[in-house]
Amino acid sequence: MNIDYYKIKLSCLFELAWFEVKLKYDRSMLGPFWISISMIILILGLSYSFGSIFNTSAIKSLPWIACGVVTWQFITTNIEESCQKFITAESLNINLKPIEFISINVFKNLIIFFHNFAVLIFILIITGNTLNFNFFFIFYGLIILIINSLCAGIIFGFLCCRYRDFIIIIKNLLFIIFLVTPIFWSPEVLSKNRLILVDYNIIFHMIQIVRDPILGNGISVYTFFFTIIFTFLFSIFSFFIYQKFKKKYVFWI
Amino acid sequence: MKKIIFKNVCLDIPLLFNNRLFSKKKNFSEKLVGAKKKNSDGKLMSSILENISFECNEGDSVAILGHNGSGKTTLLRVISGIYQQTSGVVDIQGKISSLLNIDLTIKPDATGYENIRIFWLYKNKCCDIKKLINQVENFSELGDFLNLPIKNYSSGMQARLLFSLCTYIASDILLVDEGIVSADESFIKKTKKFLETFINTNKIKIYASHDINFVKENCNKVFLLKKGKLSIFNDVSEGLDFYLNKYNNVDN
Repeated sequence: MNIDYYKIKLSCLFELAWFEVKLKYDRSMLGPFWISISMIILILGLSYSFGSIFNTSAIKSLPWIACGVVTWQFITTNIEESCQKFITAESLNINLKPIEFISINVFKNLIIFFHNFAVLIFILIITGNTLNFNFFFIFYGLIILIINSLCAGIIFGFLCCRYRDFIIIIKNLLFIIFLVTPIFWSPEVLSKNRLILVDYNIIFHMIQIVRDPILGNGISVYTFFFTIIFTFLFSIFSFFIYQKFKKKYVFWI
Repeated sequence: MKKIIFKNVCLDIPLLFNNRLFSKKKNFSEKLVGAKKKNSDGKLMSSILENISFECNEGDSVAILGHNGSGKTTLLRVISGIYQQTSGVVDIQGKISSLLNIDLTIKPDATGYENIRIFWLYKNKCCDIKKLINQVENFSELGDFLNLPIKNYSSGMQARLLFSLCTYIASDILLVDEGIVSADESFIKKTKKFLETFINTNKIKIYASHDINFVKENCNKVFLLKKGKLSIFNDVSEGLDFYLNKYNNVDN
């Protein structure tokens, strides 16, 4: 009975996420194609400037940048939206648990992520890359990403609900992280500070677990253990935060 | 079994403002507006519900009356599980459908039909969607308007849609917060007729309302809230009499 309940619950949350995507693009002429178009423009612009700065061919770096940007988009919109999620008074009138609000958010971004996947495949075909068996590691990557998105959503959602300053702080931090993390540049161009910018940078590894399988490289052992330990600790931490504040957060709205 | 039991329920809501702006001795307002002030550990609290105990059984139809800020909506939110009580016991048996705030339960960009579906999803797919759509179509009489986004509806039309949704979705407990006020005369007549048939069903109905006539005709219990304190009248005419004549004069 319990399993049935969760099945129904999950399908409800997924359909609600679907509605959110649908409503967002309902009135625009091109509809969801705007997701792909804006993504293509961003990727092309970044590859062009990256190629010019580091004097490499833009075509070569295109798949690397495309995978990085698409994954980054998933991470960043998840965090930014969950910061705002509890503040809208929706949660005062609709009787859903906080984790359910966050799950709708994650599902919604997952749908957009898979939509962007079409762009990725298109770019891979143009640049002559092919998928190989390492691609199946992507399932590990996605599961880790989803768990971490849920945890981050809970923590940042509660934090921003209580202290509104953090909405702006996190927004600014995310932009800095985008610049300092090897998302649209590759770690090989670094001559120093590799430890902080790459090796200890969890965002980089979160992107690597999706990017490497798509580009045909397996996930490196270091990345594998780094992400799995981080996810373990992070989920325990957010579980305690959730238990402590799930009843209190409504009073902060 | 459908039941709502409250035992000594208190609810304090922390006010996240600069404490120095408020005087410690005085209350928020001397008049009948808002709740009482409370200081605990230097934190400013608004004590909205104080020591509330009551019991609702199958078939009860309860009206909650009170001044602005007496805690009517808050009480409904505690029943629906959105607010957790600070102390005391809340025991609820049965599914709840609540009509608390019209503007915020719906998605203004979605059409009427989509909103029916979204509402159904919020309720965990608890009933047959085709039947629900059919019933809502018939009862709300909105016709082709159901294909339009909700933001093009008048507030009365929104009330029609939501009232139909809340009444037909499978539930045991119905909570309405001044929901049908903005609907027009003919729809109110219709809801009254409907509620008369409904009054004999064994759902528990709780309305927060200022509409005396509505209470007279539809309820069998009156809860009076005054600055967070509850007095219960099992006889409607007695309760209304007290509300109209003595409520404003008697201190606590």
